Parts: sequence; C-alpha cells; structure tokens
Amino acid sequence: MTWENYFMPSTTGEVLALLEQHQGQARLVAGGTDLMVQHRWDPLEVKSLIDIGRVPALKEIREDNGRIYVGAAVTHSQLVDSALIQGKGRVLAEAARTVGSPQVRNVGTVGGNVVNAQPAADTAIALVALNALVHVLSPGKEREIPVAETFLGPGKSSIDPAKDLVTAFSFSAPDSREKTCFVRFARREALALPIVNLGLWLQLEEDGDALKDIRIAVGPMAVVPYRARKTEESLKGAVLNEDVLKKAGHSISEEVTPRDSFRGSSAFKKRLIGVALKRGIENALDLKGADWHER
Amino acid sequence: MPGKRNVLKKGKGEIMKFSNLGKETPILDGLEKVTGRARYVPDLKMEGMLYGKVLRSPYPHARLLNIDTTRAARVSGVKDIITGKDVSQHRFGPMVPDWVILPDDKVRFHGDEVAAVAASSEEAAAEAVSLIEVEFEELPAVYDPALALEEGAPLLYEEKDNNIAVTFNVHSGDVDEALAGSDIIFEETYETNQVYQAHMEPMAAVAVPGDYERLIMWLSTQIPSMSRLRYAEALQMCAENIRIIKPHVGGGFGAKFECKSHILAAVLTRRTGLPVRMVNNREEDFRAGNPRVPMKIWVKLGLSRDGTFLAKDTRIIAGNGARTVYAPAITSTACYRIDSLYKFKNVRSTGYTVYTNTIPTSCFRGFGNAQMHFAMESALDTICHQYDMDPIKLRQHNGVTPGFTSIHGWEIKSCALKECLDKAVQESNWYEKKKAPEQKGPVKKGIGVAICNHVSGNRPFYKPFDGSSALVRLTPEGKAIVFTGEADIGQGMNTAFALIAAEAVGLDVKNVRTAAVDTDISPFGLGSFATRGSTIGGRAVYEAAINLKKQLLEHISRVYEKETDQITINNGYIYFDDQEEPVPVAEAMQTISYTLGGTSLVGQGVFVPDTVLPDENKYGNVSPAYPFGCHIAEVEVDTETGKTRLLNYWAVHDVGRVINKQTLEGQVEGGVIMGVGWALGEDMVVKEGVLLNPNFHDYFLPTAMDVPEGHIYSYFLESEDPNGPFGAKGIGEPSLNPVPAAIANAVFDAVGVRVKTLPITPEKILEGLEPG
Amino acid sequence: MSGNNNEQGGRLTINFKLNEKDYTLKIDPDERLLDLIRNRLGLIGAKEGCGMGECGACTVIMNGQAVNSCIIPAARADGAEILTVEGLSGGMENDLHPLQKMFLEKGAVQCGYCTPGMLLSAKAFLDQNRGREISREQIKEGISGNLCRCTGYQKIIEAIYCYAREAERIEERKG
Repeated sequence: MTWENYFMPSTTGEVLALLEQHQGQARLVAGGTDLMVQHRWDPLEVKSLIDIGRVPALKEIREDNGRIYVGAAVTHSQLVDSALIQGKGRVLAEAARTVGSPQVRNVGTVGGNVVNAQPAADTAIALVALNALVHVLSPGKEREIPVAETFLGPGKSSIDPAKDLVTAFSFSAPDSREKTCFVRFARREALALPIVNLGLWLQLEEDGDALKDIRIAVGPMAVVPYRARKTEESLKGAVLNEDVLKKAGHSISEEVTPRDSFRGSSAFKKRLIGVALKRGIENALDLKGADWHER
Repeated sequence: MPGKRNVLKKGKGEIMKFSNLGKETPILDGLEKVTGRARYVPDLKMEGMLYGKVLRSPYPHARLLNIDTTRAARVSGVKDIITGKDVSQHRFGPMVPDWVILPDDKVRFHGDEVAAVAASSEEAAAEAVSLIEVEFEELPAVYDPALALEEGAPLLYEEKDNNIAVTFNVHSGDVDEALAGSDIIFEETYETNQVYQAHMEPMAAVAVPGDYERLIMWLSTQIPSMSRLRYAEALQMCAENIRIIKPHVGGGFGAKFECKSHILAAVLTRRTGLPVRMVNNREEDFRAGNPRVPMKIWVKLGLSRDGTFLAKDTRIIAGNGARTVYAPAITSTACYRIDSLYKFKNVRSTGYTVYTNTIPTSCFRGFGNAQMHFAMESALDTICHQYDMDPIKLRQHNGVTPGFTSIHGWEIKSCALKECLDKAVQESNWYEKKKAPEQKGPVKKGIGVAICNHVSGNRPFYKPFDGSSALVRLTPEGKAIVFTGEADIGQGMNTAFALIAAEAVGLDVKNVRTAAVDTDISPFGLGSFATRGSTIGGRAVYEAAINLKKQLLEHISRVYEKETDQITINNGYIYFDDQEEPVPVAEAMQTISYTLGGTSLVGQGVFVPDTVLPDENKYGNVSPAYPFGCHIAEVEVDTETGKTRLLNYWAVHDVGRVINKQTLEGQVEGGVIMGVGWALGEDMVVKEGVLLNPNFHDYFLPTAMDVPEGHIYSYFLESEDPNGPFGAKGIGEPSLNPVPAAIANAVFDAVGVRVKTLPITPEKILEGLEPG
Repeated sequence: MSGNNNEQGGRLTINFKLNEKDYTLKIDPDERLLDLIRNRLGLIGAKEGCGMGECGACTVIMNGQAVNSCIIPAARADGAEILTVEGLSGGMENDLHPLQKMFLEKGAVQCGYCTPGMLLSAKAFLDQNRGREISREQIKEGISGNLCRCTGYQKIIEAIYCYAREAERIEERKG
C-alpha cells in the first residue's frame, strides 16, 4: 500500500489543519531519507504524507533571548554551514557533519532524525548533550519536552508524526566557560553508522580549570541515547589532567552496558567509548593544540 | 604532422618510439560516459518489455514440497510464472553439472531461485512474487566448509557421499624429504573471507525474442561468447540461435560470468514472446551474486639457513557455496599458481572445494591467487621477522628470473620482478623507514612489502583452447574498427585494442574504435578473466592489424605504383621514400576502395599461444606471459581504537609494455583501494546461512574519504614479453594480489600484531595488543 | 499550496525546471524523483545503484544541492530546479562542461556507472565553495557520498582538484 496524497503546505497553520483534517490517516515527513528507505522494505500504511520542508518557519536557525532555536526542518547541511551553530552549538554542527554523506545531509533533517528515534542518531546525541528541548505543536496544544525524554526505544518516539508537529529544538546559548564537542568512531569515514558516538557538554568553573558541570551523551549504549551520569558525577569538581581523563575513560567503559551488535561487540564498544570520552574532552578544551578530531 | 622519423623499425636495434603507445590516452568511450549517454543493460527499454522478478528461498536448505502460483497469477499485469515444473530438469554448469534452471526438489541456499515471474511492471512482478505460496520442508544445513567435510554433515547433493565438489592435488619433487632437510620450518594457517565485488551496476539481462527460433540477449557480462555456449546448453538450444550483445558494463571484477537470472530471463522471453528485463536490486546482488571463494589456507614452508626455499606444503579448504560456478578452478589456482613466483623445488598442495548451504562463490579479481598471496606473503614476512632476515633480499633471492622454467613447467619469458623490488624499495625509501626510531604516542607507523605474480591467460580455464581472434576493418573514410569478442567491462580494453591496432597499422588512434561485442558479428572471445585481455586479445588484434597493414601496403603499392618497401605508414599518413608530401590514409583508402567495388579492407588475426593443458602431474606451461609486481604499503595504526589508515602506497608492475599509461594507473589505484577494502573491513557476514549485511551501509567498501592521506604511486616496467602485443602483459589482477599482505605486513611492522584472518579489523588489532 | 492538486486516482500535477527546461507533469504521489527522471523523462544518466541513498549513483542537483534522487519523492520536484548530467554539457560533443573534459583528460572514468552522479556531486561541491581555496581533503568529503569501485577515487579527486585550480586561475585573471 502506498500513499495517495503528498501535501506540501507552506505555513505551520496549514500543517496543523491538514493533521486535524486527516485524523491520523496522514503523517508528517521532513527530509524523508529514513522514511523513503523504510517504505521500500516495509511499506507504510498511510493515506497521505505532509511534507514540512516548505514551511519557512521550520527551517530557521536563530538566537533569541539566550536560547538557540533550530527549526525541525533544518537540514544537516544547514547545521554544518551555520556560523551560529558552529560557534554556539559546536557539538551539533560536528554531529551533523558525520551523518551519511553530502547528499543525505542536504535532505535529512534534525527533526526527522529525532523522531526516527534511533539510539545512536548523531544529532540526537548532540541535542541530549546540550540538554535541548523539543517544541511540539499538536492541534489544540503546545508543549516543550526535553529531547532525551522523547526516546522510548529504538524507532519509538513519544512524538506521533500523525498528530504532533515538531516546530523546533532549542538549547541555551553557551557562555565562555562552556565547551562542547562530538566524537564518533565508525567502520569507515563516510556513509557509515557509528560504532559509538559521544556528545559532550562541559562547563568550567568561573575561576580556575576545575570542572563545574558536565553532560556526556553516548550511543548506541542502550535502547535510547544514554547519559553517562555516573561518570559525569565522578568528574565534577576535578581538574581535567591526563590522569583524570584516563580514569574517566575507564569509568565510562565500566558504566555503559552496550549489546553486541553488527557494527561492534560489547567489549569493543566499551573500549572505544572510553577513548572517545578522553579525546572528546581533550578536543573540547583544545588540550592537545592541533586540530585533532577523529572522524 | 608527425614525420617519418617516429616510425617503428623493427630489428635494427633502434629505440622503439611509439606514436600511440605509452601515453596517457583518455578512454575512447569516455564521452558517452561523462554525458550520461552510455547505455548499460538496466537502461534498455523495449516495446512491450516485461519485468522479471525471482522468488528466492528463505531457507538455506529445504525440500520443495509444493508451489502454488494461483494467487500470483491473478495479479493484474502478470504474463508468466515459471517454477521447476515448467522447465527441463537437465543438469548443466560452468564446471560441474549441478545447476538446473529452477529446482523441483530442493533449495540449497538462502536466496536460491525458486520461481520467476514476468509482468508488465516491476510492482506487479514484485506483488506476484510475494503471492507465490511455497511449502518447504526445512532440512539441516551446513555453513562452514570445514564442518561440511566432516562425517555426518548434512549432504547438499544426496547422490554424493560427501560435500566435496572437487579435490585438487599436486606434488612435485619430494616435499617430505625437503622438509626433513630444512634448517627452517614454518607452519601457519591463514583465512581469507568472503567479499563482494560491489560492481556499481548490478547483474542485469534483457532477453528479446529474435527472428525465427533465435534469442537475443543483452547482457552485463564478462564472457559474451562463452555465455552463448553455456546458455545454449542450459536452454537446450543451438548456440548459433543465440545472439548476445554486450553494451557498456558497469564493472564486473569476476562476478559477471554465468548468471541464473540471465537464463530465467531467456526462458520467460521464449515463453511469452516478449522482451523480459531481469535486473538485480542491490540486496539480490549481494545475496545471490558470485562472491569471492573463502579459504582456510594451511601453509608449511621449509627453508635453508641462507633463505633458499626448499619446500612448500599447503592444504586449502575452500567454500564452494551451494552450487558450482568456478570455485574449483579458483582453489586449484590458489594451490599452485604462486609456485611460479618463486623458485620452489618441492611443492605439494591439496585443495578441497566444499559445498555449503551458502551463496555460490566464484571469480573475483585474483582468482585464488589473491587469497594465496595473502597467506604466502604474510608467512614470508613472519619468517623474516623470526629469523632476522631481510624480506627484500629473501624475495630477490628466491624470486623467478627471466628465462626460468618453474617447477610446474611455466615458462617465464619476460620478468622484471627483481627490478620491481628494487624500484619499490627505492621510491618508498624502504630502508630509511625501517630504520626509523621508536615512535611516541598511540599512533604508530609501519611499512610492509609483498610481491606477486599472475598469468596473462590461463590455458586450463576452457578445455578446448585458449587464444583469441580479431578483425580490423579499414573503411573508405580511413577509419578503422576493431572487432573482437573480448569484453571491455570498464577497464579500458577497447581503448587498448584501438591503440594496438593504430600502432600496428600506422594510424592515428583518433580514427580507430573498437566495436561493441555482438556475437552475431564479433569473432569468438573467451572473455575478461585471467588478466588475458591485453596479452591474448591484444595480440590477436595486433595480428589482425598486421594482416590489414600487409593488404593496405599491397593496395597502396598497386594504386600509387610504388614498391612496398618504399612505403611507410605512420600516424595516419603514408610516406613514400621518393616523395616529400605524405598522403593521408583516408585519401588513399577512398581511392583504393573505388578500385575494389567500394569495399573496406579487413585484416584478420589469430593468436593461439603455445600453451598446454597441464598433464596429470599438473605440469605444463599454461600462459603466454606472466606479469609481476611489488607493492609497499605505509600505514598508521591507532593503538587506542585499533584503526588502521593507509598513508602511502607504492606499486611497481612489470607490464611488459605500456599500452596506455592512464588506464594502467587506473587499474593499480582501483586494485589498491579494492584491496584496502578487503584487508581492512569488507566482510560478508553470514549467520546460519543468511547474509546479515546485503547493503552498502553495513558492507564497508571504501568511500573517497577512506583513501590514503598521501598518494598511491604507480610505476610500470617494460620487460617486453615476446608473446604480448608490442610486449604487453596484463595488470587487472596483479594490481590486487599483493595488497592485503602488504597491509598486514605493514600493520605488523607498526604494532607487532600479526593478523592471519581477513579482514584486519580494529578488534583483532586490539586483541593482539592486549589479549583478553 | 502547489503540488496538491490531487486528481482522480491520486495523480499529482507538478511544475518544475529540469536542465533549464520547464515541465508540467502528472506523477504518482509515491513516485521517486529517480523514476521521474529515468522513466518519464527518459534520461538514463542517473542510475539506480542501491535504491537506498547509499551509493550516490542516482545523484542529481536539486535547488543547487546534490541529492540522492532514489529517496526523494518526485512530488518535491514541484517548484524546484533540477540538474542532471545531461544538462551539464550543451548536449553536443563540443560543448562539454570543463569538469566533464577534466574527468576525461585525467582518466577519472573507467566503467562509467558512477560517473554521472560523481560529476554532479563534484559540481555541487565546487559551486558551494566558489571563491575559496579547496583542498583534496575537502574534495574527498564533497564526493564521499558517491561510491566507485573501479578507480580507487584517485583520478576523480585529481580531476576535481585540477578543475578547481583552473577555475581559480580563470577567476583571478578576470578579477
């Protein structure tokens, strides 16, 4: 069964009207890169698709009142090229750059990536590290949910593409003591899913180099993007020298419980995530000087 | 306008200067490729064309109890459905008669063809396939060739006592005595895995009913002429009634020999009277293609203290898959082709090609020699390390030399192996790099070497003969067309033939082209395998061109009233000794043609090398020429992640004569990257007979971002083989043979971890660095 | 709202520009852009290599960006400007785009199956980086979505690099 209608509305109002009109028989699509592939092997049982790619409000990247807003239909390429995201959301720009290929990045959207709810979705990992919120509009209500909470399981999002319109993601604009970074290991350098990925946000103390706060989001370590809270706690207050980083690497290796998967065994993933954390912190704080970045 | 002085004069000790050879000649069919006009089989559209789709077995081993096509037949647009009941059950096959068109008794691998549908659209065909109801009775299956050899293993072919398709044995000299007398004995087991050719164009056929009883097939194939014979056998038709046309082919690398889907398209066409298109989607191409023969290779070597090779003993267990394509030939090649790279005095090899309930395996660039090179070149490297020997000197010491006849009677006429080693060492700065000081930090550099041999044609591949024939036609417009049955599958063969013809006749290659293979018109050609195209196909073209030239000279002599020894032809111009002004060939041809009733001149040439079928002791010279090469890989290994990166690569090849420098480089660069993919990550992961990664996101062939940070440097040495056209030998497979070993050796040099099973994954390196 | 005229049987009318030519076509709502290009317009340059957006053989340029046409709904072509390999050159032999000429000259073409997609990815990448100095590493990233099995990518990268340098030199001479 294939869809009979393909709508391309140009305002969020029109989107909501279509959703309401079709009463669950229509679903939203952004880039469609996941959907079009899934449909070939496991045909979608839906009558209509509503393409949100032509709604200008959903394609904006802007800063407003201390928060950065990224529209749901913003493509990975837009994230990579955006000076604002490069400057104030580095982890997100770096994550977006690792996705697929230029062709995929030109079309795939951050909204689609999150709603597709894979536990190692690169931009999702970055958004979780940024403690980002997702702004959702459904007919009759508006809400803000922490991105991390929308992940219910592999492929399962609390956001229903037949009812809910994701309008944007937002995260607080960083101050000078906040640093972010993304690390990813894969079997090859492009067109690859990650073996492990890591989104890092950290905040140094006002005075000195001790760590005030840290968020470490990793995948695929569980059925949803995973926050390594134990390791985060162990690092708070520490000065990030080589010894501490080594211990942190061990700590996160111990903490995570990944399964054996096609792309890597559990033991291998545990090993790699320790290296990823170490290198991530080094990179975020520019400890080694040169532009290292493992791609 | 080029002068006479560039003319090639043979036998006078003059330095050969070529007008067409040895240059960077862009491929002559590049224009249609860059403009998107090149037509490949999937691009063909015919009036009334039907779309064929195959129902494939979901079980690795099962009895077929019942097939019900009633619901499928009711799908709108379905024109025909065939099962084992609708076709003859006679057996045939490229090497062993274990193929049927469609089975009526059993399926033997996950993906095995069960039924086929022809419908007016892809969607209708797919829907019909999904509605065919099959009752299977699952049978116990076996997936590992070693396990399939064991007593009591499930039998794929119940009429046999075991799962061995073919056994190969050779013993020359006395291995046991030699081993007893060896100062150094080394023994190890290596494993090479199953990998997928990943040609960008999937397997494809369009079958069209011809006039009367004839059948026309447009095929993406490496073997147009040979396919015709095989499919005639399959379809129980007279071969003369089958016409095969090969348009542009999007790569083959060994996969595109005999394909079931071609035969099924043909059957559907003959039954419906309509054209039928059968093109694999990518998943099918993975699941039911012809991947590389996986091998477990046990090697035992005996050497004297001074590094002289005394004995080589090997045993190979090779996976055939569920039916036989060419794995037995590949196994035998693995057993004994490398014996003619070194001056072995005593060799013994046993190779078992074993049936398993998995994808039938077949030819892939290297043809068993690549697999054995991984084992041998890794083994030698290990010996050198253990006994503190120089890996370069060891190979120089034992490598074959010009004029040598190997233990199996292979006549090495031209050979620049020594020079390849020297050049590779020199260009890579090998000795300086080996002396490099201890490295700090987690990322370590290393350098590794491997050499290789191969054949340029393989006599035993097709029992009746090896050889080729060609026609070169010179038209009244002064344009030459080469007719050959040999197949250009993207490697630049057609351009090479045009260059050879142009050079041999004295034309400008701009006025020469090679016609597409059409078996109704083209001479018979065995096809693209065994790196035979340049040497055997090319030599036939050369002979045809020389024959054409002879005729041309006679006609010029007649028409212009000059003695033939006063005439020289160069770069499209005819020079007379007693005249300043040359005459363009086109002008002369027009005049000549008018005196001959408007005809073209056609030169015919044949090349049958004086090679032989090996005798019962596997003795006999099988190839007219043997190419050699030396590769050096420079890698860096990240000891924290286990990741290996290629930094630089040096490939030096003895090609006999450079026909086209650009396509030679292209072959080397392609072969190296293909080898990098195989060595560092490509793997067909099969669990319980099911391929888990039939797609490009989980099958890790290299992208543009996975190429070396530095360069792939290629060098070509000309040993001027007496049999090759202008001395040329091939490069298609030699460019891949040494790559995995060169990388494995470089990895060992970097981090001291010896990986003996491909691919060399980060996990294996980490495990080697910190066992457990 | 454009492209939403659902006629009977769910057929959509779309308007778009392809290779500088205007088109009005009726398509199926679930049709892929690749099918529109190959089957309705008969342009065979874009190939189906995998059907999953993983090999780049189907690459075309849509609104200035390289995309995998096998996973783009054809409906999205409405109002769009599309360039296929057939639109790169003027159509006749002597009218090759300099990038096509460079691919030929440098030996960046072997079997040719990846070539149309590769050329378009290269073009999109170069257009997006006009005026900037381009490194080989950046080129590798630019074509990282196009698989090639024949060439090992070396001559493709070289061709794009040489073209970029030449284009730079031409720009410098102009300005």
